[in-house]
Amino acid sequence: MKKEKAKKKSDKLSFITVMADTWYALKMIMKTSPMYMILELATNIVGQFLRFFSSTYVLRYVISSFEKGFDFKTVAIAVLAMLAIPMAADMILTPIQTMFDLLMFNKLERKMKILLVEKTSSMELSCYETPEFYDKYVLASRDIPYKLSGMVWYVSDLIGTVIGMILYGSLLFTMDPLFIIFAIIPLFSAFLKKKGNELWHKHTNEDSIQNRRAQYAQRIFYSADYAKEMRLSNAKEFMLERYDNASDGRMDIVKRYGFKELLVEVTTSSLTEVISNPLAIMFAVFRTFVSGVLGIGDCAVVINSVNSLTSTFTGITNRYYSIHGEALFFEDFKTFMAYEPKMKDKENAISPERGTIKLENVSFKYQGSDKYVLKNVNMTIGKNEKIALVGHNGAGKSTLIKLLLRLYDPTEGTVSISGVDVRDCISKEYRGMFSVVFQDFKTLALPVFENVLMRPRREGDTERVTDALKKSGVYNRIMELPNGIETMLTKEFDEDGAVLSVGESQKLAIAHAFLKDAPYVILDEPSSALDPIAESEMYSNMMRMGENKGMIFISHRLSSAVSADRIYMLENGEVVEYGSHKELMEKNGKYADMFRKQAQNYIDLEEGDK
Amino acid sequence: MSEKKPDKVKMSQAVRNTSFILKIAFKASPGLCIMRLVMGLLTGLNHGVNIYFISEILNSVDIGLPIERIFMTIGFMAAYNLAYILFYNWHWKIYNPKFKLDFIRRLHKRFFVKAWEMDLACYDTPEFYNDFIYSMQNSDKSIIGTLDHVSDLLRCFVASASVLAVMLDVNYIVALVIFGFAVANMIISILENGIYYKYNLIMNKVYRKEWYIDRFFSLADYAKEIRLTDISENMMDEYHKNKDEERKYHIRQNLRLTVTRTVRTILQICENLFIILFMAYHLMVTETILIGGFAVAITAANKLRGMLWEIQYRITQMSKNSLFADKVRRFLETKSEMVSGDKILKEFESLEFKNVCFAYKDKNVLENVSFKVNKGERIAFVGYNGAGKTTTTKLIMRLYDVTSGEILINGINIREYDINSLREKMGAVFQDYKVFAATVAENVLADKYTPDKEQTVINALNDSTFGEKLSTLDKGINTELTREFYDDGTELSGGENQKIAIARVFAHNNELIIMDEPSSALDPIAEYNLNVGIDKNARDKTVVFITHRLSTTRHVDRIYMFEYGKITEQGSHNELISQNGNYAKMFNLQAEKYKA
Repeated sequence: MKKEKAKKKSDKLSFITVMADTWYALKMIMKTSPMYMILELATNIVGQFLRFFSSTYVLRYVISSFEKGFDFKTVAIAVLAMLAIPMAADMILTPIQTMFDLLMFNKLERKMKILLVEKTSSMELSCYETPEFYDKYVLASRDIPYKLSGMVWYVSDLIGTVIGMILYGSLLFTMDPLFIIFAIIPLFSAFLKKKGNELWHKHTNEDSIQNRRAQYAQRIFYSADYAKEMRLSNAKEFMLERYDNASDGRMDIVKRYGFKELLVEVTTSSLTEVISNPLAIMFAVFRTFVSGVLGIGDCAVVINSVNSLTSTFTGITNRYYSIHGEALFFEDFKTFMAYEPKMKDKENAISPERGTIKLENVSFKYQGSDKYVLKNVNMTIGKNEKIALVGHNGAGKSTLIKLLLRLYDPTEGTVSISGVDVRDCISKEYRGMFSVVFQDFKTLALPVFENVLMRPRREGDTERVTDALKKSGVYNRIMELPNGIETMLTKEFDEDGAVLSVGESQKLAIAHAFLKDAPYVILDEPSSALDPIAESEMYSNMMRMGENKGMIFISHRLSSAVSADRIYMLENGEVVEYGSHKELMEKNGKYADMFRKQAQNYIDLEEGDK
Repeated sequence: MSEKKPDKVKMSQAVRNTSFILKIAFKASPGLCIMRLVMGLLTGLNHGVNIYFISEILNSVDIGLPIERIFMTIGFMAAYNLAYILFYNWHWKIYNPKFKLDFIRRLHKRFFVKAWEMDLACYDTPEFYNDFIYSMQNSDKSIIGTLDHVSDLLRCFVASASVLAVMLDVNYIVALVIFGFAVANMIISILENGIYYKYNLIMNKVYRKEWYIDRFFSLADYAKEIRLTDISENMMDEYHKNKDEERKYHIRQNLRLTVTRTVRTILQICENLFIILFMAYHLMVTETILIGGFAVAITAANKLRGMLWEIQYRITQMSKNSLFADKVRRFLETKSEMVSGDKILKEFESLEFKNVCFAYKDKNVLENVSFKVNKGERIAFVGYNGAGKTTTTKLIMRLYDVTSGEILINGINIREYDINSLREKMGAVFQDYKVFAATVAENVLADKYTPDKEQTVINALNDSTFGEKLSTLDKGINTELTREFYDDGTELSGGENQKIAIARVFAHNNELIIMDEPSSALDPIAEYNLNVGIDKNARDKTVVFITHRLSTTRHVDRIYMFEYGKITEQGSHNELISQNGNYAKMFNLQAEKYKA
C-alpha cells in the first residue's frame, strides 16, 4: 500500500518538479565531485561523435566522393582527419575514466555518509519509531550515493542522446528538410510510451502486493524459525492455500494487462520500424531516382542511419522516464535534509548539575497519535536513591526512561534536574550523566575494548577497561578469548569473532557503565530467559554498580524491587501507587496483589496463608 | 597451464549442472522451454536479416534496379518487421508471463513440500541453512536465469553466424578481420573477468563491513546508543579505514583495467579504420564491392563484437548459475533420515527415556538421560541455559532421533510409530514461538478454519488470557495478524503473540503438552492468570514444563534438574529442597527476595 501510494505520487510529478529534482541532484554532485559528472558526460559525448562520424558521416563522404570520382588517397587522408579528433579523445578518456571513476565514487560515498550521519544523529529518537518516517527517509536515504551515480549516468546519457539526435537530425535536415516529416511519426510513440509506462507501473504495483504475499509463504516454508511449528501442525495447508491464492492473483493480473501492453508495445515499435523508417527509406529512394534531389551517398546514409535517428527519440523518452522514476527519491531526500530536529539545544543552554531529578505532571504521546502513553506522571529521583519502576508490559515504563534521558521531550509537564528544566541544558552533557543498560543491549562488531569504552580510545584506557571488566565480573571470561580485550566480537566480518551469551553481553554493558562512572544509572532488567543463577549474579552486579549513585531500574520480577527506596507502579501510563516496598505491602493495593501472586509459590504454604 | 586445468573441470561440471537445471525446467514446463529456445533462434536470425535487408536495398540502389523493385524490397522489410514485432511481443507479453508464473508455481510447490518433508536437523546445520535455503529462495530466478542464458547463448551464436554469413558474402577478408577483432575483444573481456573476480573476492570483506556500519547508523536498534555515547566516532573511524582499504583495492584493480581497456579501445579504433579504408578502397579502386556492403560493414563489426562479448558473458553467468544447480541437486537428493514407522498411536499412556544420548555435530548435548512420565503426570525440566532441556523436548516430538539409547512411548520405541499420528497427540509452546500471517483462528487451530470450530478457538483464547485483547479486535477471531498480507493487519506485542501460541496448544486437546518457557514474555499478573489457564486445560493431561521461574515447578509431580546434558537431580519439589543440592540453591536464590 505504501509503495503503491509512492508510485502513484511519482506518476503525478510534474515536468518542472522532475527538472528541479534533477537539478538538485546535479548540484549535489557538482559540489562533492564535479569531475565525476564531467568525465561521464565527456565520455558519452565523445562516444556519440565517434559513432556518428565513423558510421554515418564517413559513409556519406566516401560514397559521395566515389560518385564524384575523387582519388582514393585524398579520401583516405580526409577520413583519417575526420576521425582523428574523436578517436584521440576516446583514447585519452578511456584510461582516465577507468582509473578514476571508482575512486571518485568512493569520495562521493564518504561525503554523503558524513552528511547522513550528521543528519540522522541530530534527529530525535521518535523519527526512528514512526515507521512511515523511518522507512521513507532514514532507511531510504542510505541509497543516496547510488542514486546520485545513477543520476549522473542518466543525465549524461540523456545529453549524449540529445547531441546524437541533433547530429543525425541536422545531417538529414541539410540533405532534405522534408525528412522532418518522418521524425514526427515516432514522436507519437513518445506519447504512447507514456501510456505504456503508466500501464507498466500499475501492473508492477498490483503484482508487487501479490508477489509479497507469495514470498511470505515461501519464507515460511524455508525459514528455520518456522520449521518446528510447520512440522507439528497443519499450518502447511493454509500456507499452501495462501500461496495459491497469491499465485492466482498474479495470474489474473498478467491476463488483465497482457493484451493492453501488447497493443501499446506493438504500436510503438511499429510506428518506427514498420511505418516511419521504411517510408523514410522509400522517400529517400524516390528523391534520389525520381526527383534527383539527393545523391547516392545521401540516399545510402538515409537507408543506413534512419534507424539511428529514430532510436534517439526512443532513447530520449526512455531516459526521461528513468529520471522521472528517480525524481521521487530526491523529492523525499530533500524533505529529509530539510527536516528540522525538534529537540535542538537552546543557544543559552547550560551545563546540568547533579542533584534531584524531578518529573512534574509529565504526559507524553507520540506525534500524530492521540493516545497518551504517559499521563500526569510525577516522580522524584534523589541524588543517591534507588527507584524501581514496575507494572504490566506496555504500561509506559520504557517510555518514561526515554523521557528521563531526554530522548523524547514530554508533550506536557517538565523534567528537571537540580531545579533546571532539562530542555534548558546542553543535551549531550545531560545525557552524559547517565549510564544506561538497555534490555536489548547489543554487542557491536568491534573489539571488546571498544564495546566497553563506547568512545574513541585515549591514553590510560587499557587500565580503565580492565578495571571495569573486573568489576562486572567478566574479566576472566574475556581473557580466555584468543586476543583478550582486543578480541573482535560477533561474526559480522570476522569469522574468528567471539559470540558472547546474553549474560556475558549484559556484563559488558555493565562494564561500560562502571567505566563511565556517571552519577545516574538506568537499568532495564532483562526479562529474557536467564537461568536463576545467572539472573541472581546479574542482579547483584547491577546493584553494586548503583552504589553511591542515583539509580532507576525497571523490574520485571518484583523480587528485585524489594530493596528500592521507592517503587513506582505504572498502569496504562499513570502512576497508580508509589512508596517503599513496606508501605505498598501495607497499603495492600495492586502492587501487593502482584507481589503476592508472584511470591506465593516461593514462600512456604503456611506463610502464604497468613 | 596448470592453472587452466581446474577451469576446464569447472567447465564440464558447469555443462552438467546446466543440463540438470534444464531438465528440471523442462519437466516443469516443456512449453516454456521450447518457446524460449525458439525466441533465441529467431532474435538471433533477426540481426542477420536486418543487415541483409539494408545491404540489399543499398545494393539495388547502387546497381540502379527499377524503383518498383526497390520499393518492393522495402515493403518486404516493413512486413517482416511487423511480423517480427507481433511475434516478439506476443511471446513476451502474453505467452511468457502466463507460462512463467505457472512454471514458478509448480516449481515452488514442489520445493515447499520437499523442504517441509526434510528433517529438522537439516535446518540446524548452518551450511545447509545458508546454502540450500538460500538457493531455494532464489530457485525460480536461477532456473529461469539459466533458461535465459541458454536461449541468449543460442541467440548470440545464431546472430554471429548470420552476421558473419552476410559479411562473407560481401567480402571474405573483411569478414575474417571483423571476426578476428571480435575474438580479440572477447579474450580481453575474459582477462577482465579474471581481474574482477579476483578483486571481488578481496572486496567482499570490505563490503560486508560497510554493510554492517551502514546498518549501525540507520537501524533503530542502535539509535539509543548513538545518542547516549560517543560510539559513533569509533564507527566513523572504522568506516573511513574501510573506505581507505576499498580505495587501495580499487586503485590496484583500476591500474590493471586501464591497461585492458586501453588495448580494447586501440583495437576498436584500428578495426574501424581498417574497415573504412579497406572497404573504401574496394569500393573506389577495385570496385569489387557495392555500397551496401560498405555501409553495413561497420554495423556488422559492432554487432559481431557485441555478440562475442555476450557469449563469454553468458558462459560466465551460466557457470555461476551452475553452482546453484549443485545445491539444488543435493537438496533434491537429500533423503529424510527419519523413517516413519507404521504403528498408529491411539492413546498416550507413558513416555520413557532410556539412557538417551544425543550428539549434535560430535558435540554431546545429552548424555544418558533416563526418566519416565505416565499419563496425567506433570514434570518440569529446570537447569542452566544450554543444559539440554529444549533438546530433550525435541526428541520427545521426534524432531530428531537419538544418537543412542531409546525413547519408548507406551513401552514401544518411538521409531515404530507413524510420525504424524505421534505428533497429533502432542502440543508444544516453543521458546521461540511463531505467529503466522493468517487469521487469529487459523493461528490458534494451526489449520484451515471452519465456522464449527468457533467455540473451540474462543475458549482456547480465553484460557490463554488473550480474551481481553480479543474483545478489542473488530473482526474477532477472523482478525488478520501481521501486515504481511493485508496492510490493515494487526500487529500484536510479544506477550500477546505468546498467548496465541499457548492457545494453539489449548485448542488441540493434545494428550501430551510441552511448554518451553511459556511465560517468558508475560508480566507477573498475566503469568499468574496463564498458570490458572494451564491448570484448567491440562487437568487430565501429561505436561512437560521447561522453566526458569521455579515458582511454576512447585506443584509438579517431578522435577528434573539438567546440568551439562545430564540429569543431576530428580524428585518432587520438597524432596529436592531437602536434598539441598543445586535445585535448592537455585530455588532459594529466587525465593529469598520474596521472603523479605
